[in-house]
Amino acid sequence: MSDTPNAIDAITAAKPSPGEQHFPKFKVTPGLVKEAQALVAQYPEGKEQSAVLPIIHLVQEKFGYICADAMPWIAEMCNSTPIHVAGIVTFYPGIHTMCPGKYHFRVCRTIACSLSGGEELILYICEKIGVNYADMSDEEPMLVSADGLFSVEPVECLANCGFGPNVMVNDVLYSQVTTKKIDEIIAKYQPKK
Amino acid sequence: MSEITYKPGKEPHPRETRRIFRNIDRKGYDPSIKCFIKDGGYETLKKAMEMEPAAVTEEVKKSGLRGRGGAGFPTGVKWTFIPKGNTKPVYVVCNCDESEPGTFKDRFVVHQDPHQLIEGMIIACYAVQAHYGVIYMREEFPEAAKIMQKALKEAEEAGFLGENILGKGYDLKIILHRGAGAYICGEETGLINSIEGVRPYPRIKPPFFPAAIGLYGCPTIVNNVESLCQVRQVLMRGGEAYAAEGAQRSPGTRIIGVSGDVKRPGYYEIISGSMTFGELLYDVCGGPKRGRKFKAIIPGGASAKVMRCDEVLKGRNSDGSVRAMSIFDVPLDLDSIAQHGSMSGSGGIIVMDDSRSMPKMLNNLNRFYAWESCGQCSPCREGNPWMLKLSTRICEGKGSPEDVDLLKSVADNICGRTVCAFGEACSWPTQAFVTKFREEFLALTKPINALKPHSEESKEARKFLTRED
Amino acid sequence: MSTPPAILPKDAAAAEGKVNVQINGKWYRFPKGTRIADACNSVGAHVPCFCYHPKLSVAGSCRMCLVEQGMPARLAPGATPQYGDDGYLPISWMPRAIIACANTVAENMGIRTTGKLTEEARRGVLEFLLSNHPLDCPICDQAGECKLQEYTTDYGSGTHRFTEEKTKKGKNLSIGPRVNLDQERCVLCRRCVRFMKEIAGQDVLGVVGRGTHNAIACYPGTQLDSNYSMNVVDICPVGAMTSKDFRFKMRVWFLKSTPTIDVNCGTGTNINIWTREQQVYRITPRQNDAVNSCWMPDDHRLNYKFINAPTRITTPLVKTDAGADQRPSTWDATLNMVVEQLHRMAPSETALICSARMTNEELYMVRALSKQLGITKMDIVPRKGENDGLLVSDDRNPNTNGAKLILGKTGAGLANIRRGVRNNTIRFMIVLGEDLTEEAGFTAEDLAGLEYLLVIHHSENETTKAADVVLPGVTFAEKYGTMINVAGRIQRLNKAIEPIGESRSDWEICRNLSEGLGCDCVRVIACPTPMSVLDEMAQEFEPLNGITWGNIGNEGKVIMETGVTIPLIEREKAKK
Repeated sequence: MSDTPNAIDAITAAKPSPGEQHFPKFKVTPGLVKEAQALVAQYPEGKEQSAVLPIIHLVQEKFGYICADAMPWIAEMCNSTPIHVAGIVTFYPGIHTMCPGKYHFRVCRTIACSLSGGEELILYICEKIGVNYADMSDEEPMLVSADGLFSVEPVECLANCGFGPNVMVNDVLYSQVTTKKIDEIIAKYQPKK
Repeated sequence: MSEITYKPGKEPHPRETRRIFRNIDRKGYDPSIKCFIKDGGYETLKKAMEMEPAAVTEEVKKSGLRGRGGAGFPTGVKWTFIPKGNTKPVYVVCNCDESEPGTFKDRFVVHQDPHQLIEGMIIACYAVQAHYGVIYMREEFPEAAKIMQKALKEAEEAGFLGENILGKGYDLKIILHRGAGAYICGEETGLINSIEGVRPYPRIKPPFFPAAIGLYGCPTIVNNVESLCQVRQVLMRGGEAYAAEGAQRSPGTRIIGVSGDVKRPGYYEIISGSMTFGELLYDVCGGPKRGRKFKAIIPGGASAKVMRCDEVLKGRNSDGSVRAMSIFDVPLDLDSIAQHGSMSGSGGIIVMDDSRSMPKMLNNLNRFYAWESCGQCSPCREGNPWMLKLSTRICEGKGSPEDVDLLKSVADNICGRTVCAFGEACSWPTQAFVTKFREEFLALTKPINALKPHSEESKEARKFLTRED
Repeated sequence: MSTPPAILPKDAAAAEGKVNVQINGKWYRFPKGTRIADACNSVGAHVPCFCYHPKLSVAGSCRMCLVEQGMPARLAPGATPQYGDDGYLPISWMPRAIIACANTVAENMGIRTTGKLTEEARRGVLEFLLSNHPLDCPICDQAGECKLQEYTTDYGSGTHRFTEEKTKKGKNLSIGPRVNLDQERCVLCRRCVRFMKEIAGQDVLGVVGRGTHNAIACYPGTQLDSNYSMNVVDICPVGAMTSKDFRFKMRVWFLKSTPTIDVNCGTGTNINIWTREQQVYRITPRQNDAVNSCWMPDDHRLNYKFINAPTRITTPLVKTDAGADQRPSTWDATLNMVVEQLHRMAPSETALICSARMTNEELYMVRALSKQLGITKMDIVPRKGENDGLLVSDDRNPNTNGAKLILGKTGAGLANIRRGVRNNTIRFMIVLGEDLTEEAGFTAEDLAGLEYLLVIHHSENETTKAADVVLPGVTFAEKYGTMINVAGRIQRLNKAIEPIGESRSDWEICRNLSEGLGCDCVRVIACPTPMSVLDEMAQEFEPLNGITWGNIGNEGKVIMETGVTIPLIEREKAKK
């Protein structure tokens, strides 16, 4: 066959990440099934497929990312097929196929934040957490620190343009972020020595 | 009602008129239903539900309210597009996928005053007799999602949602559906596909409005967060009163987000048309940063065509005569800026001063569009990465003068040929930047880059280059 | 002042349920609801399409079919329409091109498939599609029948302005047992995705990634293994989906295609056989909306290897002594020998088994032969399988209805013949086109016990091996003839290649034997071609009255009520 890597297997190929140590491994439990079923129940009858994004969010919240084992399960839960779930997972930048760090920095680099220094901030965070910006891939643009505690991902517009540069750390938005602020955030989450 | 005071440093500018943002950054105000009701919340809903649904729609039509998502389509008219004699369920979807770069208004409503949106949405649902509503919230608002979930629960417990609302025999369920970080989900049919659980490719037009065929193939009304909040204002103040205020063709207040190189960026709620760009940027926002001059303005979200600050525009006096004016003289309503070749879109104004390189700005936008293109249709899927590669090359000094024209030509080939408006959104910036700041682009290019590598001229030229090296 | 005609064209058209549409300056009438692309193509104004396929849902995403469109200007309130001399309203043209696949025609609509707006749009779209395309036509199987190639020649510009690095995607990926995928060549029209979901009912293909990284894929661990998977190769407008079987075998422009029908089941799927010289290279479905739409099952498509296989019998074979080996002989000598033998056989001790895989013409000649010989113990071998709910019929014989019409046989007498062979009341057998050790239920011992076995078949099998004389017949690709499918439709088989070696069509062999046996019926022995055999049959059999080779056409003709339908076709009708 061809010498290029098989692009089809790559859909679910594991992308090892040091972040995995901070998240449980994907496992289907009765509790998880129940939560997923509750999400399905939100939608009109026969429209189970609508729940595919909510269930993906549920899995990502609990396990950090969507691994190969999760997709067929998600498909089963919402009456879809694994390839369609893969189509959704690989479409949205907000869904990860690689485990982020325990504290995931999303740095806005779109025009308004870029005007106030967002792009420089990405480089600064990379330096701080000890990763090389040049290693960032186009398809899964995320870098995870060696200890799995921190990860950085450049994102497009966080919709807080007037108060850039904006950085989200997990669910919390920090605006008008300076390098000093980054230092503080990292120090806060760094385990005490 | 008690005197409204704001958190320190968050006081509205005297020239603002806070209606939708009345409670934003207000001291002692929290997103709970208690706070909202104390402030007169859900009274408008009671008023609306005393009326016939058709009368509510009529009131909104009368108000002249235009959508605040970017396109500016009259909200009430959109509601009437539901086919007559429809027997299918009707859905209302709130577009809270705020993702147009430069726009940041819905964020504050859903974080700080969620019940305002819920009330507006219930009124809209009642008007079109929908019994199922979806708030589509972008993934980047995780906190807001929690707040909204809680608010929906509170509203249901208080009897404003669920079965037999206010004892009027009207049932309504509203759910929250979170996106996952895709700009294209702001396109209403892409958003509907996202809710349906398929890839959020925008649907082909016609039908131009999902009011005919939308979510699950049923009539669907998609409204922006601010639009639904404005609906509440319309019903609160009455359609005629609402129409009387502000610009004639786009009445009501507008929330303007200013970002970029001004002293005081931020959000400002103003009466539509009550001030000009100049007044906003100089008086309200404090003008350019120290020692700088304004150079360019993107007047309505990233896809709006950029305006040069030294551009001479033709204005029309009331007697029909033409006068020269600049962007700073254009009033802030929905239509005025459109007469000068751009648009007011979603109200996000991005300002750039003379320290900025325009090719670099365009390159930033091109990266955004190349990243956000869904890839469904050929011109957008293939054209955006091409534009990005071209502008990157130009910025790196590896472009030739011909590349500048090529860049514009690629944009021209996307515009008007795509499934959805993304084709225009992504090509307008390139068209405008390249046309209006051509000299900056050309300055970055080197004619030698255009020479074919093995041509005689290039050998000749390279000889000198090597010597210099 | 213009004077419009008394009856306006719009009213005249409306009376027929149609609308008037101007295409490139000329007015035409189309049924309401006709797609613009179909309308234009039907009048020779070609609209190029990648994603549009008439049998699939509309995607509207390739943007290749952009055309210029106009409608009469909207009337000002209170104004009356001003019709021109020709009775039409003036058309105001839209500044934006629209897609011809998703939009339908409307009264007084104008379409231009030529002109600046359309041409620029097409050139632009083609340039985009080619920008990340590997341009590997010299090694691509699709070359020669590739839409991207054709449209680039027709509408593209000669040069390319894209000089950047291309997006890399997968090359030559195996996505199923019979299909390969080259993601780089793909234009993402999603025809394959829609086909698998909407027609084949195996929803395994999907699009993954986003933007420029979009690619067709199936989920790891699943594969495109439906029995209809190879149809995606046919509908793929470019070389993204290729057939493993045909890959790198032959340039398509060297191939000749012959329209004929599939003989693997009673559906009689319409096909094209693609040949070069005497070699069959591939089979593809041929559109017939009453039989197989645009599709065919993979196992039928791939069942052609036997045509050029070394197991073909190319000369008559004769066993001169019991226990001796068969050796090749000439036709004349063998026919004489067989005639002599046939004269010696008692009709009551002779059985004839022929095949519902034979054409009507062959069966007619078999009947003549059996009459000449006075044989009454005669039947066909029935073949039953499972109906797949799409195109594969439960009747695995292609011409059961023909056998029923001409011979009055359906296989009910087969058991009697078997019994006869086993209790020695049948000592002689003539077998045409069947291997009796398969579905017919005979054993090698049964055959060995016969005194004389004459077999006409195209390939070696257990029955030919046991035969005293084997006459080489031809396969379906080497003969003309007609068959009647399960739904009662008579269809034509066309000769794609000449008979291999010295083989001859069964109807010809039977005719020669009848003649040799002394038949003097002019209607039998004077038939020069299968077409003239059909003419004879048309007079004799009521359902065939009026049927000629010519009027059957390439799509066939329904000649009898059978009450049997083809599930896929019924589903397609229901969709409309």
